[in-house]
Amino acid sequence: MKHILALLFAVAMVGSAADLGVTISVGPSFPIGQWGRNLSTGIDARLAGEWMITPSLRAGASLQGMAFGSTDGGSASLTMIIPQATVSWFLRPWGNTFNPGIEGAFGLCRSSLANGTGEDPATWDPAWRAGLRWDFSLGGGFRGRIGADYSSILAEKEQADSFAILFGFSTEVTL
Amino acid sequence: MKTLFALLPALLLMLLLFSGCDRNPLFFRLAADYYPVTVVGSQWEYSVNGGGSLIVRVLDQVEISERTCYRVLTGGDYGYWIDENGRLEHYEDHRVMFNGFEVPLYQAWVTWLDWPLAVGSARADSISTFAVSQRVTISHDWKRTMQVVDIGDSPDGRWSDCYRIRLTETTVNWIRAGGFEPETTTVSRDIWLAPDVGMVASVTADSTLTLDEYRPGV
Repeated sequence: MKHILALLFAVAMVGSAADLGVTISVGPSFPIGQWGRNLSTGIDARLAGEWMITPSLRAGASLQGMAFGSTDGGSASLTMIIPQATVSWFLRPWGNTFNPGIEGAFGLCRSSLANGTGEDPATWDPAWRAGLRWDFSLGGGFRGRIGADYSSILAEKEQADSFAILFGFSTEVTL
Repeated sequence: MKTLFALLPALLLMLLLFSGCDRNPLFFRLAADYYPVTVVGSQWEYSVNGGGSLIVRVLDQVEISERTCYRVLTGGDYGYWIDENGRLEHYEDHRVMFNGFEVPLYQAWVTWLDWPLAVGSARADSISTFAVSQRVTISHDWKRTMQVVDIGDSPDGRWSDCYRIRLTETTVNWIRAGGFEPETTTVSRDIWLAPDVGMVASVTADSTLTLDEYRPGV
């Protein structure tokens, strides 16, 4: 966590001459493949800081968290924390209602499985994601953002793919 | 200095890739079936220490207590299993012999394992019941505890990423008539479950079962 804050701070410092975009998003996440056989639909939440290199091109850091429960409503839970570097590009950054874009990220995922009083050893694996965005103005300096992501954790023997639908909002801050 | 900057992304990439090689395939374990009793025709052949063998075979699907399940023949005994909604259930059929009659004491579906397994997770199931036979009351107390002990190789080293489970079953049967005392039986065993294979070893105080061959059904 400390490293993430430091990274966000560094990005903010680099981008201090320009604007920094802060985005919060949340949405359902659906496991793809056998790794989700005993897990339910999960939740995906993200906090991202983006340095606006140009109005269209942005780069920054994000902290993504995902959590899945067990299918039977039992006590199992799989949680993932992914600090990552992000790059995004938007077609019409000035657009009030139509500003489509793409976003990609690469980072390290810490996965932890717990069930009742038990917990499997946590694992760190490389992870990436890519997706589409639709950005629009909400007024008052805020912008809404809807998106869909395909993500993959490049774990040993079995990679964990998932699909997420995201709803979020962003604002620009000047440090 | 320029070279260092050029090498930095490569070093970072290598670090990220090697971080995935820590021999802890969590998602592989999540994807695996650790007790594949839902494929008709699957067969496990075990050797018993001291001689002998045991064959376990998934025979067919039947209906028990209004639920469709898989019938498994273990040696000469039938067992019934359901694997759905994130849990593996076993049909507990407890009977006792009394005066030449087989007295049913308890029949019900009881959860055997909660998926997904995790080291340290545990469950305990118990029942306390009685039956009347030939005007004599027979009480029956049963308790089963299961705990996932660790992850590792099977005792013979043939299977990796196995969950070791410690299972203890205590049964107290008491024929409530003159001359009878409570009869307590405790069986403790460690079993190793291998991914997409099932039980590959079982060790009790006086016996060891080792999987020789597994033939998955189709």
